[in-house]
Amino acid sequence: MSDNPLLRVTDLVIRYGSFTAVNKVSFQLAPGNVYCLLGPNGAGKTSTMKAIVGLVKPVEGSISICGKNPSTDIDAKNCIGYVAEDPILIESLTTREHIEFAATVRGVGKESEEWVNYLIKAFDFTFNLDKPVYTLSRGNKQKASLILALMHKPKILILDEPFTGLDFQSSSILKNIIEDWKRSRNGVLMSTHILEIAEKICTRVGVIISGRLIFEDGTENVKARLLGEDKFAKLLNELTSNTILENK
Amino acid sequence: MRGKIVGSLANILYRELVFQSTTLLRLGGFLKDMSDTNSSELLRKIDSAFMFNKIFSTILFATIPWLYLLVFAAHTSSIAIRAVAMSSSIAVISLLAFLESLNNIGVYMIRLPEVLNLYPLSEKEKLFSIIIMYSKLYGVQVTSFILSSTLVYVTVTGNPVLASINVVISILCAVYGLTIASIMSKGFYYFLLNGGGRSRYFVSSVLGFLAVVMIMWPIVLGNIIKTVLSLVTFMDNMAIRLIFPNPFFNILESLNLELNSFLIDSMGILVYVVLAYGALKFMYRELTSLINPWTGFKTQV
Repeated sequence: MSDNPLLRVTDLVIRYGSFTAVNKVSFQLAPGNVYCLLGPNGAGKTSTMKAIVGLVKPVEGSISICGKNPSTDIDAKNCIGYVAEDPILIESLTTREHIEFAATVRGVGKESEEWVNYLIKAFDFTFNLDKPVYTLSRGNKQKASLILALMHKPKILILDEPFTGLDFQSSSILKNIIEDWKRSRNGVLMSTHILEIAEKICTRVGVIISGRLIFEDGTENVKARLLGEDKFAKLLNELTSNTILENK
Repeated sequence: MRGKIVGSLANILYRELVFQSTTLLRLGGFLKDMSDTNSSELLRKIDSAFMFNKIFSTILFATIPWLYLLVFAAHTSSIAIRAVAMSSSIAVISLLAFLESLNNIGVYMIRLPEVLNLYPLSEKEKLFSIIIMYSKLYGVQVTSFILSSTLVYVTVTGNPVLASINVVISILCAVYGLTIASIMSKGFYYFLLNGGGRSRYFVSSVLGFLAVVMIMWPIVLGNIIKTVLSLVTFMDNMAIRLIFPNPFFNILESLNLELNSFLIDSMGILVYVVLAYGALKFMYRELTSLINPWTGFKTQV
């Protein structure tokens, strides 16, 4: 691990009423890494990501984004691009209007026009650009959300189940973008409940179950460890069953 | 603070809120199936429908104090003015609560906290955007009520002190109305989220039923007030008659009557002030939780 991680989460605790969704979770995202939070549905992956982005209030712990304190330094938000599992979009706005607003707020200038146009073309989104968001399908909302998260070239990409609803071509484009992010010493934090995806894309995997980070390791060691212990074999079974269902 | 961004965000949020409130009862059932032309047309229609709604509600808010003045014109001016104050205040609370709770469900539906906290916006920018959004929604109506009721008091009493007290009371009414509405809509939204209905059709029916109940509420309440007032005007002690609905007006008169009335009035005012403080505190907490979910969380670098 690098001494200067892009993202550092320490002893994070999130509660919804009396239910503890995330319990003392700690991890770091180093430059050039893709860190996957792997776990079954309801394990606490989304809550952890929401807390990092600032959408959920943690009760304990600390978070540092690009060396900044996200609760006091609004620049920390420019360091991240977030794609939620359920895309956060304004229904009555078109994607073009979203892009224009995001560009103004984030201070993205004309120099990024080429990159934004590339994203629009790559995700085959030109035809949908001027449609109000409420008319878009789930997959197209996901694409709009990805364009908005990537347009300011953030240092950290936070992707919550990013492949859900994406067609084959867009999934492949996204995989390439993640590779590019890794190569350019940026970082990606991704959640998935599909082991296959974690194996192919991630450099490091944190296994999260019932709000606890059970263990983390390099991707190559995770599967072996999952197979090696009974309770993890059970989890592996659950994760691979999900894969089969997803593929169907 | 970046004024241009605040203005633009307030416009976006206002437009979205109007869209969500207007299409609320349909819950998007058929919206997805519309053609591109029709969906753009729908957005335009929603804008103009909301504008008409605003114009009519402004006229209604401005008319309320005059209507109540007409109803109670037969009484002595002293009684009439209290009746107007009481009735119009309650009517405005009810109306505001009705308008607000429907729109406020929209506030939760547009996922305002998520939208606001996704972008690098300062707390000041977020707060001002929300305030401008609410002002765009209700500013004209509330202002029209305040001006109109103040004019009623000046016309009837010729007393500028009463008129200025009225401004304070009207603002309090708006705060009460907004608070009641926020609580109602939040509760209602979570009821829907937590399995209030198994299908969108069930949810739609419940929403429709509640909308009817809420439309009827001010009308029913108006009748209750009228009946209660016709009874209380036969009571002997004038100071006690209208103490609960409006101690602010009564205290000026009770000063000249007896110590007991004055004390009761003072207690009434105290209760009002405590309630207003609670309401403002609640609204502040609501706003800050919308603006920054991290409030109270210690982050370290």
